[in-house]
Amino acid sequence: MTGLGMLMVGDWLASLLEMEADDIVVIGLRALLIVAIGAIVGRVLTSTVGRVLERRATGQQEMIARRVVFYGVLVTTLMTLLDTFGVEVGVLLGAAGILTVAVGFASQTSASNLISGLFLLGEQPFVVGDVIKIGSYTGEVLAVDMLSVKLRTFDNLYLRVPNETLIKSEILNMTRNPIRRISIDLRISYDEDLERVRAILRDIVDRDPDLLEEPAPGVWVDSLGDSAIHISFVTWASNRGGWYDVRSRVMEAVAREFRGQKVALGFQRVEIEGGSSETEAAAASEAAPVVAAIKP
Amino acid sequence: MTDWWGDFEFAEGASRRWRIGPLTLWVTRLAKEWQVAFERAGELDSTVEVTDSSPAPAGLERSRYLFVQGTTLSVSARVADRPVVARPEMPVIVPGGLSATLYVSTPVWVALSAGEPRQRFHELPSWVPSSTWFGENNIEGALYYAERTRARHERGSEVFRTRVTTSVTVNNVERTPLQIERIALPLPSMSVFRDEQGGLWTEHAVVDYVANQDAPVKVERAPLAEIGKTTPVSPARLARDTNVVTRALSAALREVMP
Repeated sequence: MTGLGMLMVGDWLASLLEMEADDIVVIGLRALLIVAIGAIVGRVLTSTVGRVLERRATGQQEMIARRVVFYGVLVTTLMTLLDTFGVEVGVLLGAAGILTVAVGFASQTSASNLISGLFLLGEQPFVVGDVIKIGSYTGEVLAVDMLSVKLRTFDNLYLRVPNETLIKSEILNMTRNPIRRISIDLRISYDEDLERVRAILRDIVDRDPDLLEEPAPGVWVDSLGDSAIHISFVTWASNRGGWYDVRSRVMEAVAREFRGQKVALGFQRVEIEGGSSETEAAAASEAAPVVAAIKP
Repeated sequence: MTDWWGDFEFAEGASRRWRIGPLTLWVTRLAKEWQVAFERAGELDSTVEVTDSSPAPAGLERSRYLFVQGTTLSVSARVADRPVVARPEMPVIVPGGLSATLYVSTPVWVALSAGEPRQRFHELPSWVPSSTWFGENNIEGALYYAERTRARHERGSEVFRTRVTTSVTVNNVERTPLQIERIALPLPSMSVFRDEQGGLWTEHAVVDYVANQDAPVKVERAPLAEIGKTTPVSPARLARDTNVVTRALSAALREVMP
């Protein structure tokens, strides 16, 4: 097959070289013109498509439309260019089909990424603009390309993730759903009145307009620890920008209110007991220098 | 009674202070510039005052808007920018075959415009209501404002000039009693009117409840006739072609189990 290809290229070069110098100049000028027209048309069309879809479509749809137009113009320009040079596009495509198999074996990773990219575009676990978590990385999706997905992490770093990796790994989409829960774990002393704590937390939700009335906030006892009652305070906020600010504000309010209203928090308490007589003390110091009892 | 909305002339360097219920608003006109500052306190305050004043206290954050022209400030009263879910403080039950008219009041939004042609440069609520989620589940739905309402069934003597009142008639077409848990009002599709006492109203809304069907809110063309003569104050935020807003209320109305 390769021999046939070489033979075809050789014939074509020979026919090109047999031409008059003037003809070659004409072909060269024509090729330059085609490239220039292709570049202008490509730029105008992609920017027009971008402008038209800017307000009517999502960032993802706009990106795909721009890509389709760009690659469409690129392929048309290349085919016209080859036609100008006298290359028979039909024959070339036939040869390319066979060549693809050979190239495919040589570039398995790229092909896998390419196909994974198509699946990602079809399945849409995320779109441009979403914030996703892959492994230990969290970032905003900048582009879903043929071979990889580009992310911008929260500390403004540029991250490229191959599509194949994405298909294989768990992806957490942080912004797809419109509302998100804020969960705060608290440890309250056994001496504290839980109803009072509930009222304080409910009041925090009522006073902050960004905390949702529904789904209703909740306070649950998670477990009875050695030295504290472990409770979960959950409340909801919009997931369309500002969620982290709201969460931080709620935590700050909880800390402020607990301090202001002197809510007894649970913490590890150690009671040191000394022996009542010298003998007991001696016996205790032999076993353990200090007897520590965790008082509930 | 003077209204707090309308056109106000400002000499260069002049300041005015508005008390619109919980909101205190300062506006100052400087050469080619408007400055706005505000603070809020006391949700149910109903004081209304417009006075010439000194500029806003130094500690408040000011917004500066640069304009080439305009000595007139237009202040307008608008409805909330999102729909509102009103939840009665106590359960309200409408017996089968009967109708009930309830009154729900929501904070007014204050919009400031100036220049030729008029350009709206600042808008703020007199009180920021809590947000809430209204939908079938935690994925499908939309963010609304939440209002707890006493769901009065009489107009009462209170004149709300700092809140906008919406009257809603619920017709229970079924024979079984209906418990109203929540009423969702499409406020952005409603306009603001002024009654003769200076109170603010929206158009009257009607909900026909039929079991196992969506119960859309129908927004009438004008406020409830019982209110008396009304004059328009500001148009709806969203244009509507028909008087039916197709937002289903099936989730808001629940038939009381016998």
